[in-house]
Amino acid sequence: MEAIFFAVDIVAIILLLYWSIINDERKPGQPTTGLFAYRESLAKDGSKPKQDPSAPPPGLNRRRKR
Amino acid sequence: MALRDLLMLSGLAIMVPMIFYRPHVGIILWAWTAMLVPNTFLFGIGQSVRYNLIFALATLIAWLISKEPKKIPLNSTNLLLFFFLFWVCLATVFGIAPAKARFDELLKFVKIVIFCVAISGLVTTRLRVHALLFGLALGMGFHGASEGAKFIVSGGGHRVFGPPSSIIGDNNHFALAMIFLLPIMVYLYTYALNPLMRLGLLAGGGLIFASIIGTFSRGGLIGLSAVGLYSLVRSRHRFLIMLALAVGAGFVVYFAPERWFDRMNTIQEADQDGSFMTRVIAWKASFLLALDHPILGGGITAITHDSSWSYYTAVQRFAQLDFIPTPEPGIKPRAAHSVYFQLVADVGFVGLGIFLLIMLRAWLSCSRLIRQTKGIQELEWINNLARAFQVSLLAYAVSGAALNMAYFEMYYVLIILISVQETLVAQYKQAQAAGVTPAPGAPGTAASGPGSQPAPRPSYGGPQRPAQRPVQRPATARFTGRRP
Repeated sequence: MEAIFFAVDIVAIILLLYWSIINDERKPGQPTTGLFAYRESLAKDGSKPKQDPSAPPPGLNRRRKR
Repeated sequence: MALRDLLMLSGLAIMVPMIFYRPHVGIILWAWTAMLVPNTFLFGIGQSVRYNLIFALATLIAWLISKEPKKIPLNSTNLLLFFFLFWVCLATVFGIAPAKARFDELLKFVKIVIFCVAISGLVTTRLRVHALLFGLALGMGFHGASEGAKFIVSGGGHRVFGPPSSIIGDNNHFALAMIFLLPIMVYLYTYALNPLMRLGLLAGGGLIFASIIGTFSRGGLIGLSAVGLYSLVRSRHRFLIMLALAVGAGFVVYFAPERWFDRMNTIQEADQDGSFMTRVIAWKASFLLALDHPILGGGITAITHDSSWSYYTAVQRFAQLDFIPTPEPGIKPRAAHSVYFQLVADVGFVGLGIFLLIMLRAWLSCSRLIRQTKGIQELEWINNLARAFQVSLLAYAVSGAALNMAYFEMYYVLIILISVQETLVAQYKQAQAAGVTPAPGAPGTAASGPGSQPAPRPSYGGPQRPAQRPVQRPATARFTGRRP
C-alpha cells in the first residue's frame, strides 16, 4: 500500500510542477486550467462570465428551428 | 535496484531540469522533500541520495542565474525572523551543549531560514502560493494518507508514527504536523476546480484525520479539539463544520480500539500519568536552566545534554521548583517537550520573546488580512487562506505546548506565506491607488524563463519589464481571471 501511495505521490508532484510551469506562462486574465486548477473566486458569479448589459438578451436573435 | 528507487531517481532526472527552467518549482520540491523524507522509503541506491540538498542547491543556483528578481521584501516578519536567527546563532555559539550537537542543529535551522528567504523571493504570485501549498500537501499528506489507510485497513490496530529520524517521526509530532496540514487541505479543496482533485483532497483529508487518531496522541486530540472548536466559532459554514465533526466523532467511536479510549481518558488524570509527569520534569529542568542563562539560554539542545540534565535535576537545584510536585527525575536526559520550554532553555527569555512576537505578529497579520480583503472578490482567496493559516497557527500554539517542535520547518513556511500575502495585498492597494491594477498573483506576471511570453505590462510579483502597449481591460476582468 505504501509503495502505491509513494508512486502516486511522485507522479503527482511531477504533474504539479508541470502544471505550475505551464500556468506560470499564462497571459494575464486567463484562469488556470488542468488537474490543479483553482477557482478565481468562490462567489457564485465568480467563475461565470457576466452578461454584457449592452448585448441583447439570449434568445432574441436566435432563429427558430423548423 | 528497487522499483521505488528507480521511480524516485527517474523523477529526480525530470525534476532538476524543471528547476532551471522555472526556479520557483525548486521551492515546491524543497518543501515536498523536507516533509516527505523520501530516503526512508527507499532501499537501494536511491537511499543515499540527498534529495533535499540537491533541490535546495539547484533552486538557489537557478534563482541566481535566472531573471527572477533577487529582491527580498524586508518587512517586519522577515526582519523578526532574521533577528531570531541571529539570536539562535548567538545563543548556540555561547551554548553549553557539546559543539557538534548544537552546531548540527543550528545548521538545520539556518537551512530553514534560507528556505524562507527563497520563498519570499520566489513565491510572488497566487499561482505559486497555490502550487507550494499543494507541494506541502503532497509531502506531508503522503504520510497522513498512507498511515491513515493502514489504520483503517487494520481495523484500528495499526499504531501511526512518522518517518523515522525526521522531525515528525514521533507520534505526537506527527499528529501536530497533520493537524497543521488539515486547514490547508480544506483551503485547497475549497478552491479546487477539477472534480478528481476535489475527490482526492477529500479522501486525503479523511485519511489524514484517521492517521491523527491512529497516533494515540493525547496532545493530538487536544489540538484537534481546539481546532474544531475554533473553526466552529469562527467559520461562516458552521453547519458544515458540525457535520464534519459529527462524521469525525462517528469514525472515532466506530474505529478507535478500546486502548485508544483508555489512553485518552488519562488526560483527566494528568497528575498521576507517568508520561505527562516526565514532561513536567523536563519543563522544570528547562526553566531552571533558563533562570541560570536568562538572556542567551544554553544554546540549542542544551537540556538534552547529559551534564546539564544531571546538573539541573540535582536535588538541591530541583527543589527550587518544589511548589510544582513531580516524581524524582531520572538520570536519562529528556527533551523539553514543549515549544516554549524548549526555546526558553535554548535561547533564553529574550529568544522566547522574539519567537512569541513572531507568532503574535503572524496571528494579527492574518486578522488584518481578513479585514483588509473582506468584500474584495479578487482577494477573496487571501481572506480564506488567512483564515486557514490562523487555524494552523492555533494548532501549533496549542499542541506545540507539549511537544519539542520549536524548529518545525512548516511553521516558518507558514509565517513567510503570511508575509507573502501581506505583500500581495499591499501591491493590490498600491496598484488600485495608481489606477493600473494587475491582480495580486495575476497569472503570467512572473514569466522569466526560456520560452516565456513577454509580459504586456510591468507588474509586481515578477520581473519588471518595460510595457509595450498597455492593454485596456475592464477592471473586473483583471481580477477575476475572465477575459473580456
